[in-house]
Amino acid sequence: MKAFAALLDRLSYTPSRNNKLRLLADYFAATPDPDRGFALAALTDGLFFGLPLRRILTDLVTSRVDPVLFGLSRD
Amino acid sequence: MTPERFDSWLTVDRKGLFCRPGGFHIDPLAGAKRAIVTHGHSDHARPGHQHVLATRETLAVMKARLGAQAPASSQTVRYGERVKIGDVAVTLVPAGHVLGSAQVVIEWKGVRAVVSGDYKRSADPTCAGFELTPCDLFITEATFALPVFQHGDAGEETAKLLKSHRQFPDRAHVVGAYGLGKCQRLIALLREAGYDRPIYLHGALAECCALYESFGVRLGDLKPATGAAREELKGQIVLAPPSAIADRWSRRLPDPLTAFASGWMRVRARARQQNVELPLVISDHADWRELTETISETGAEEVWVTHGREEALLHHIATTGRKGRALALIGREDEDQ
Repeated sequence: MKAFAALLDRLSYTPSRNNKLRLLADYFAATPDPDRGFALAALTDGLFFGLPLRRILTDLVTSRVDPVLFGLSRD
Repeated sequence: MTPERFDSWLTVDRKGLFCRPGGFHIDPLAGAKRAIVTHGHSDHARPGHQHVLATRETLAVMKARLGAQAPASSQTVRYGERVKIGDVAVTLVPAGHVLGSAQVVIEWKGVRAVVSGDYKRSADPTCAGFELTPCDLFITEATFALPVFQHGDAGEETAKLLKSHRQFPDRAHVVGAYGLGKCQRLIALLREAGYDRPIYLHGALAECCALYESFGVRLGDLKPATGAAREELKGQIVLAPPSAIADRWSRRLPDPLTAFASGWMRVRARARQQNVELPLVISDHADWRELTETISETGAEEVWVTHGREEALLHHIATTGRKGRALALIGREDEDQ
Protein backbone atom coordinates (compact mmCIF):
# COMPACT_ATOMS: atom_id res chain seq x y z
CA MET A 1 0.00 0.00 0.00
CA LYS A 2 2.76 2.43 0.94
CA ALA A 3 4.59 1.79 -2.31
CA PHE A 4 1.35 2.39 -4.23
CA ALA A 5 0.69 5.61 -2.31
CA ALA A 6 4.25 6.74 -3.10
CA LEU A 7 3.67 5.92 -6.77
CA LEU A 8 0.44 7.97 -6.90
CA ASP A 9 2.25 10.83 -5.22
CA ARG A 10 5.05 10.79 -7.78
CA LEU A 11 2.62 10.47 -10.71
CA SER A 12 0.59 13.44 -9.51
CA TYR A 13 3.67 15.70 -9.52
CA THR A 14 5.26 14.39 -12.74
CA PRO A 15 4.18 16.31 -15.85
CA SER A 16 5.94 14.33 -18.58
CA ARG A 17 4.25 11.26 -20.06
CA ASN A 18 7.52 9.38 -20.56
CA ASN A 19 8.58 10.01 -16.99
CA LYS A 20 5.18 8.78 -15.77
CA LEU A 21 5.68 5.60 -17.80
CA ARG A 22 9.08 5.09 -16.22
CA LEU A 23 7.57 5.37 -12.73
CA LEU A 24 4.80 2.89 -13.63
CA ALA A 25 7.22 0.40 -15.21
CA ASP A 26 9.49 0.51 -12.16
CA TYR A 27 6.54 0.02 -9.81
CA PHE A 28 5.13 -2.99 -11.70
CA ALA A 29 8.57 -4.57 -12.00
CA ALA A 30 9.29 -4.22 -8.26
CA THR A 31 5.87 -5.02 -6.73
CA PRO A 32 4.63 -8.59 -6.19
CA ASP A 33 1.14 -9.93 -6.85
CA PRO A 34 -1.56 -9.40 -5.76
CA ASP A 35 -0.62 -5.79 -4.87
CA ARG A 36 0.31 -4.82 -8.40
CA GLY A 37 -2.92 -6.34 -9.69
CA PHE A 38 -4.94 -4.17 -7.33
CA ALA A 39 -2.78 -1.20 -8.31
CA LEU A 40 -3.43 -1.79 -12.01
CA ALA A 41 -7.18 -2.09 -11.36
CA ALA A 42 -7.18 1.09 -9.26
CA LEU A 43 -5.28 3.04 -11.91
CA THR A 44 -7.58 1.90 -14.72
CA ASP A 45 -10.90 2.52 -12.92
CA GLY A 46 -11.33 -1.21 -12.36
CA LEU A 47 -12.10 -0.89 -8.64
CA PHE A 48 -15.51 0.26 -7.55
CA PHE A 49 -16.24 1.47 -4.05
CA GLY A 50 -19.95 1.66 -3.26
CA LEU A 51 -19.16 3.91 -0.33
CA PRO A 52 -19.12 7.68 0.20
CA LEU A 53 -15.35 7.65 0.81
CA ARG A 54 -14.90 11.39 1.23
CA ARG A 55 -17.58 11.57 3.92
CA ILE A 56 -16.26 8.50 5.72
CA LEU A 57 -12.77 10.02 5.82
CA THR A 58 -14.08 13.34 7.16
CA ASP A 59 -16.12 11.53 9.83
CA LEU A 60 -13.09 9.49 10.85
CA VAL A 61 -10.95 12.61 11.23
CA THR A 62 -13.54 14.72 13.07
CA SER A 63 -14.13 11.97 15.61
CA ARG A 64 -10.42 12.04 16.51
CA VAL A 65 -9.30 15.63 16.02
CA ASP A 66 -10.11 18.87 17.82
CA PRO A 67 -12.72 20.62 15.60
CA VAL A 68 -11.06 24.05 15.89
CA LEU A 69 -7.68 22.68 14.80
CA PHE A 70 -9.33 20.70 11.99
CA GLY A 71 -11.06 23.86 10.75
CA LEU A 72 -7.81 25.87 10.84
CA SER A 73 -5.94 23.10 9.04
CA ARG A 74 -8.48 22.95 6.21
CA ASP A 75 -8.42 26.70 5.77
CA MET B 1 8.64 45.33 37.92
CA THR B 2 7.69 42.04 39.50
CA PRO B 3 9.25 38.86 38.15
CA GLU B 4 5.96 36.95 38.36
CA ARG B 5 4.33 39.41 35.96
CA PHE B 6 6.37 38.51 32.92
CA ASP B 7 5.13 41.44 30.85
CA SER B 8 6.47 43.88 33.43
CA TRP B 9 10.06 43.02 32.52
CA LEU B 10 9.83 41.33 29.10
CA THR B 11 8.15 43.69 26.69
CA VAL B 12 7.67 44.16 22.96
CA ASP B 13 8.65 47.48 21.43
CA ARG B 14 9.01 48.52 17.78
CA LYS B 15 12.34 46.67 17.51
CA GLY B 16 10.97 43.46 19.00
CA LEU B 17 11.29 41.53 22.25
CA PHE B 18 13.06 43.56 24.97
CA CYS B 19 14.34 42.57 28.41
CA ARG B 20 14.07 45.70 30.55
CA PRO B 21 16.28 44.81 33.54
CA GLY B 22 19.01 43.56 31.15
CA GLY B 23 18.59 46.39 28.62
CA PHE B 24 18.80 44.09 25.60
CA HIS B 25 16.65 42.98 22.68
CA ILE B 26 16.43 39.45 21.32
CA ASP B 27 16.63 39.11 17.50
CA PRO B 28 15.65 42.77 17.06
CA LEU B 29 14.98 44.64 13.86
CA ALA B 30 17.85 46.79 12.57
CA GLY B 31 19.92 49.06 14.74
CA ALA B 32 19.51 47.92 18.36
CA LYS B 33 21.91 49.15 21.02
CA ARG B 34 22.36 45.77 22.59
CA ALA B 35 21.11 42.55 20.98
CA ILE B 36 21.18 38.84 21.62
CA VAL B 37 20.91 36.97 18.32
CA THR B 38 19.62 33.38 18.32
CA HIS B 39 20.91 32.35 14.89
CA GLY B 40 22.20 33.64 11.58
CA HIS B 41 19.07 33.60 9.37
CA SER B 42 18.39 37.03 7.96
CA ASP B 43 15.02 37.47 9.68
CA HIS B 44 16.72 37.05 13.07
CA ALA B 45 20.24 38.39 12.50
CA ARG B 46 19.58 41.91 11.30
CA PRO B 47 22.19 44.46 10.27
CA GLY B 48 23.38 47.52 12.13
CA HIS B 49 23.34 46.60 15.83
CA GLN B 50 25.85 48.29 18.11
CA HIS B 51 26.58 45.27 20.27
CA VAL B 52 25.65 41.61 19.74
CA LEU B 53 25.94 38.65 22.05
CA ALA B 54 25.73 35.29 20.23
CA THR B 55 27.52 32.00 19.69
CA ARG B 56 30.80 31.99 17.79
CA GLU B 57 29.11 30.32 14.81
CA THR B 58 26.27 32.84 14.64
CA LEU B 59 28.70 35.76 14.81
CA ALA B 60 30.75 34.19 11.98
CA VAL B 61 27.57 33.89 9.86
CA MET B 62 26.66 37.51 10.59
CA LYS B 63 30.12 38.68 9.64
CA ALA B 64 30.06 36.72 6.38
CA ARG B 65 26.56 37.80 5.39
CA LEU B 66 26.34 41.37 6.65
CA GLY B 67 29.84 42.59 5.82
CA ALA B 68 30.10 46.26 6.80
CA GLN B 69 26.67 46.04 8.45
CA ALA B 70 27.89 43.38 10.91
CA PRO B 71 27.76 44.41 14.58
CA ALA B 72 30.26 47.06 15.66
CA SER B 73 31.14 45.08 18.78
CA SER B 74 30.31 41.56 19.87
CA GLN B 75 30.58 39.07 22.69
CA THR B 76 30.96 35.36 22.04
CA VAL B 77 29.43 32.89 24.47
CA ARG B 78 29.61 29.11 24.53
CA TYR B 79 26.55 26.94 24.94
CA GLY B 80 25.78 26.62 28.63
CA GLU B 81 28.00 29.55 29.69
CA ARG B 82 26.09 31.80 32.09
CA VAL B 83 26.77 35.52 31.67
CA LYS B 84 25.49 38.42 33.74
CA ILE B 85 23.96 41.44 32.01
CA GLY B 86 23.04 43.87 34.77
CA ASP B 87 20.88 41.91 37.22
CA VAL B 88 19.95 39.35 34.61
CA ALA B 89 21.69 36.02 33.92
CA VAL B 90 21.72 34.89 30.30
CA THR B 91 22.62 31.43 28.99
CA LEU B 92 22.56 30.24 25.39
CA VAL B 93 21.39 26.65 24.94
CA PRO B 94 21.40 24.64 21.67
CA ALA B 95 18.20 24.99 19.63
CA GLY B 96 18.98 22.34 16.98
CA HIS B 97 17.85 24.66 14.15
CA VAL B 98 21.08 25.43 12.25
CA LEU B 99 24.81 25.67 13.07
CA GLY B 100 25.27 27.89 16.14
CA SER B 101 21.52 28.32 16.77
CA ALA B 102 20.56 28.97 20.37
CA GLN B 103 17.67 29.36 22.74
CA VAL B 104 18.06 32.25 25.15
CA VAL B 105 17.58 31.42 28.82
CA ILE B 106 16.95 34.56 30.89
CA GLU B 107 16.91 34.44 34.68
CA TRP B 108 15.87 37.36 36.85
CA LYS B 109 14.93 37.34 40.54
CA GLY B 110 14.43 33.59 40.66
CA VAL B 111 12.19 33.47 37.58
CA ARG B 112 13.27 31.83 34.33
CA ALA B 113 12.13 32.65 30.80
CA VAL B 114 13.29 30.75 27.70
CA VAL B 115 13.15 32.23 24.20
CA SER B 116 13.23 29.27 21.82
CA GLY B 117 14.25 31.18 18.69
CA ASP B 118 13.68 28.82 15.76
CA TYR B 119 14.18 25.21 16.79
CA LYS B 120 13.65 21.56 15.98
CA ARG B 121 13.88 18.38 18.04
CA SER B 122 14.76 15.91 15.27
CA ALA B 123 18.35 14.85 14.64
CA ASP B 124 20.62 17.00 12.50
CA PRO B 125 24.25 15.95 11.94
CA THR B 126 25.28 19.54 11.16
CA CYS B 127 24.42 21.23 14.46
CA ALA B 128 24.15 20.66 18.20
CA GLY B 129 20.85 19.06 19.24
CA PHE B 130 18.04 20.91 21.04
CA GLU B 131 18.32 20.89 24.83
CA LEU B 132 15.23 21.26 26.95
CA THR B 133 15.34 23.85 29.75
CA PRO B 134 12.50 23.83 32.30
CA CYS B 135 11.14 27.35 32.73
CA ASP B 136 8.31 29.55 34.01
CA LEU B 137 7.74 31.38 30.72
CA PHE B 138 8.39 29.76 27.34
CA ILE B 139 8.49 32.02 24.28
CA THR B 140 8.10 29.80 21.24
CA GLU B 141 8.14 30.02 17.47
CA ALA B 142 5.09 28.70 15.59
CA THR B 143 6.18 28.44 11.93
CA PHE B 144 4.53 25.03 11.46
CA ALA B 145 1.92 25.24 14.20
CA LEU B 146 -0.90 23.29 12.59
CA PRO B 147 -1.61 19.57 13.11
CA VAL B 148 -1.18 18.96 9.35
CA PHE B 149 2.51 19.65 9.75
CA GLN B 150 4.13 16.34 10.66
CA HIS B 151 7.60 16.41 9.19
CA GLY B 152 8.35 12.69 9.41
CA ASP B 153 11.78 11.19 9.00
CA ALA B 154 14.31 13.24 7.02
CA GLY B 155 16.22 10.03 6.20
CA GLU B 156 13.17 8.64 4.38
CA GLU B 157 12.81 11.84 2.37
CA THR B 158 16.49 11.61 1.42
CA ALA B 159 15.89 8.00 0.32
CA LYS B 160 13.13 9.31 -1.98
CA LEU B 161 15.61 11.64 -3.63
CA LEU B 162 18.15 8.85 -4.08
CA LYS B 163 15.51 6.49 -5.48
CA SER B 164 14.47 9.07 -8.06
CA HIS B 165 18.13 9.62 -8.86
CA ARG B 166 18.44 5.88 -9.63
CA GLN B 167 15.18 5.84 -11.63
CA PHE B 168 16.15 8.79 -13.79
CA PRO B 169 19.92 8.41 -14.17
CA ASP B 170 20.19 10.93 -17.01
CA ARG B 171 18.31 13.77 -15.38
CA ALA B 172 20.01 16.42 -13.26
CA HIS B 173 18.20 16.48 -9.91
CA VAL B 174 18.09 20.12 -8.88
CA VAL B 175 17.10 20.48 -5.25
CA GLY B 176 15.96 23.81 -3.79
CA ALA B 177 17.41 24.28 -0.32
CA TYR B 178 17.91 27.37 1.84
CA GLY B 179 21.54 28.42 1.92
CA LEU B 180 22.14 28.42 5.66
CA GLY B 181 21.29 25.14 7.33
CA LYS B 182 19.03 23.20 4.98
CA CYS B 183 21.63 22.93 2.24
CA GLN B 184 24.29 21.56 4.57
CA ARG B 185 21.85 19.26 6.36
CA LEU B 186 20.71 17.79 3.06
CA ILE B 187 24.30 17.20 1.99
CA ALA B 188 25.01 15.51 5.34
CA LEU B 189 21.86 13.36 4.98
CA LEU B 190 22.96 12.30 1.48
CA ARG B 191 26.41 11.41 2.82
CA GLU B 192 24.85 9.43 5.71
CA ALA B 193 22.83 7.51 3.13
CA GLY B 194 26.07 6.54 1.38
CA TYR B 195 25.98 8.99 -1.53
CA ASP B 196 29.65 9.76 -2.10
CA ARG B 197 29.62 11.32 -5.58
CA PRO B 198 30.34 15.02 -5.96
CA ILE B 199 27.41 17.29 -5.10
CA TYR B 200 27.10 20.36 -7.31
CA LEU B 201 26.30 23.74 -5.82
CA HIS B 202 24.76 26.94 -7.13
CA GLY B 203 27.23 29.77 -6.45
CA ALA B 204 25.02 31.30 -3.75
CA LEU B 205 25.40 28.22 -1.54
CA ALA B 206 29.17 27.84 -1.61
CA GLU B 207 30.04 30.38 1.07
CA CYS B 208 27.82 28.88 3.78
CA CYS B 209 29.13 25.39 2.99
CA ALA B 210 32.70 26.64 3.39
CA LEU B 211 31.73 28.25 6.69
CA TYR B 212 30.21 24.99 7.98
CA GLU B 213 33.35 23.12 6.98
CA SER B 214 35.50 25.68 8.81
CA PHE B 215 33.56 24.68 11.95
CA GLY B 216 34.34 21.01 11.39
CA VAL B 217 31.16 19.89 9.59
CA ARG B 218 32.35 17.55 6.84
CA LEU B 219 30.36 17.74 3.63
CA GLY B 220 32.47 15.68 1.23
CA ASP B 221 33.18 16.50 -2.40
CA LEU B 222 31.40 19.73 -3.45
CA LYS B 223 31.73 21.27 -6.91
CA PRO B 224 30.45 24.48 -8.47
CA ALA B 225 27.50 23.91 -10.82
CA THR B 226 27.92 27.25 -12.51
CA GLY B 227 30.49 26.85 -15.24
CA ALA B 228 30.30 23.03 -15.26
CA ALA B 229 29.72 21.49 -18.71
CA ARG B 230 26.13 20.39 -19.43
CA GLU B 231 27.32 16.83 -20.06
CA GLU B 232 29.08 16.75 -16.67
CA LEU B 233 25.83 17.60 -14.84
CA LYS B 234 23.86 14.74 -16.41
CA GLY B 235 22.56 12.52 -13.62
CA GLN B 236 24.06 14.66 -10.87
CA ILE B 237 22.51 16.11 -7.73
CA VAL B 238 22.62 19.89 -7.85
CA LEU B 239 21.65 22.10 -4.90
CA ALA B 240 20.36 25.62 -5.49
CA PRO B 241 18.56 28.33 -3.53
CA PRO B 242 14.76 28.06 -3.85
CA SER B 243 14.64 31.19 -6.01
CA ALA B 244 16.86 29.54 -8.64
CA ILE B 245 15.05 26.21 -9.11
CA ALA B 246 12.29 27.61 -11.31
CA ASP B 247 14.22 30.24 -13.22
CA ARG B 248 16.56 30.33 -16.20
CA TRP B 249 19.47 29.09 -14.17
CA SER B 250 18.04 25.60 -13.77
CA ARG B 251 16.77 25.36 -17.37
CA ARG B 252 20.30 25.09 -18.65
CA LEU B 253 20.77 21.85 -16.69
CA PRO B 254 20.26 18.57 -18.62
CA ASP B 255 16.54 17.56 -18.38
CA PRO B 256 16.24 18.94 -14.82
CA LEU B 257 14.02 17.25 -12.24
CA THR B 258 13.01 19.87 -9.69
CA ALA B 259 12.94 18.92 -6.01
CA PHE B 260 12.51 21.17 -2.98
CA ALA B 261 13.46 20.40 0.62
CA SER B 262 11.12 22.29 2.95
CA GLY B 263 8.51 21.74 5.64
CA TRP B 264 6.05 23.52 3.34
CA MET B 265 6.21 20.60 0.93
CA ARG B 266 3.67 18.88 3.19
CA VAL B 267 1.12 21.16 1.51
CA ARG B 268 0.37 19.91 -2.00
CA ALA B 269 -0.70 23.33 -3.30
CA ARG B 270 2.68 24.82 -2.31
CA ALA B 271 4.59 22.18 -4.24
CA ARG B 272 2.38 22.66 -7.29
CA GLN B 273 2.65 26.44 -7.23
CA GLN B 274 6.40 26.11 -7.48
CA ASN B 275 6.29 23.37 -10.15
CA VAL B 276 8.12 20.99 -7.86
CA GLU B 277 8.28 17.46 -9.26
CA LEU B 278 9.74 15.88 -6.14
CA PRO B 279 8.67 17.54 -2.88
CA LEU B 280 10.85 16.57 0.11
CA VAL B 281 9.43 17.28 3.56
CA ILE B 282 12.64 18.21 5.36
CA SER B 283 12.36 21.04 7.84
CA ASP B 284 14.63 22.75 10.34
CA HIS B 285 11.61 23.87 12.37
CA ALA B 286 9.62 21.99 14.98
CA ASP B 287 6.46 20.36 13.61
CA TRP B 288 3.12 20.36 15.43
CA ARG B 289 4.01 17.44 17.65
CA GLU B 290 7.41 18.85 18.59
CA LEU B 291 5.93 22.28 19.35
CA THR B 292 3.16 20.93 21.60
CA GLU B 293 5.35 18.34 23.34
CA THR B 294 8.09 20.88 23.99
CA ILE B 295 5.62 23.33 25.55
CA SER B 296 4.44 20.60 27.86
CA GLU B 297 7.97 19.39 28.73
CA THR B 298 9.19 22.86 29.71
CA GLY B 299 6.58 22.93 32.47
CA ALA B 300 6.00 26.62 31.71
CA GLU B 301 2.92 28.19 33.26
CA GLU B 302 2.74 30.79 30.51
CA VAL B 303 3.61 30.56 26.80
CA TRP B 304 4.13 33.40 24.35
CA VAL B 305 4.08 32.80 20.61
CA THR B 306 6.42 34.95 18.51
CA HIS B 307 5.63 34.34 14.85
CA GLY B 308 3.89 31.86 12.56
CA ARG B 309 0.48 30.23 12.93
CA GLU B 310 -0.30 31.61 16.37
CA GLU B 311 -4.02 30.89 16.36
CA ALA B 312 -3.84 27.10 16.39
CA LEU B 313 -1.03 27.00 18.94
CA LEU B 314 -2.81 29.44 21.26
CA HIS B 315 -5.91 27.26 21.04
CA HIS B 316 -3.84 24.24 22.01
CA ILE B 317 -2.13 26.12 24.86
CA ALA B 318 -5.53 27.09 26.26
CA THR B 319 -6.66 23.46 26.25
CA THR B 320 -3.65 22.57 28.44
CA GLY B 321 -4.66 25.13 31.07
CA ARG B 322 -1.72 27.44 30.38
CA LYS B 323 -1.87 31.13 29.75
CA GLY B 324 -0.99 32.00 26.14
CA ARG B 325 -0.25 35.21 24.33
CA ALA B 326 0.55 36.12 20.71
CA LEU B 327 3.42 38.59 20.36
CA ALA B 328 2.86 39.04 16.61
CA LEU B 329 6.45 40.11 16.00
CA ILE B 330 6.76 41.62 12.57
CA GLY B 331 9.39 40.99 9.92
CA ARG B 332 9.81 37.27 10.43
CA GLU B 333 9.57 34.29 8.10
CA ASP B 334 11.81 35.65 5.35
CA GLU B 335 14.18 32.78 5.33
CA ASP B 336 14.30 29.06 5.90
CA GLN B 337 10.67 28.26 5.98
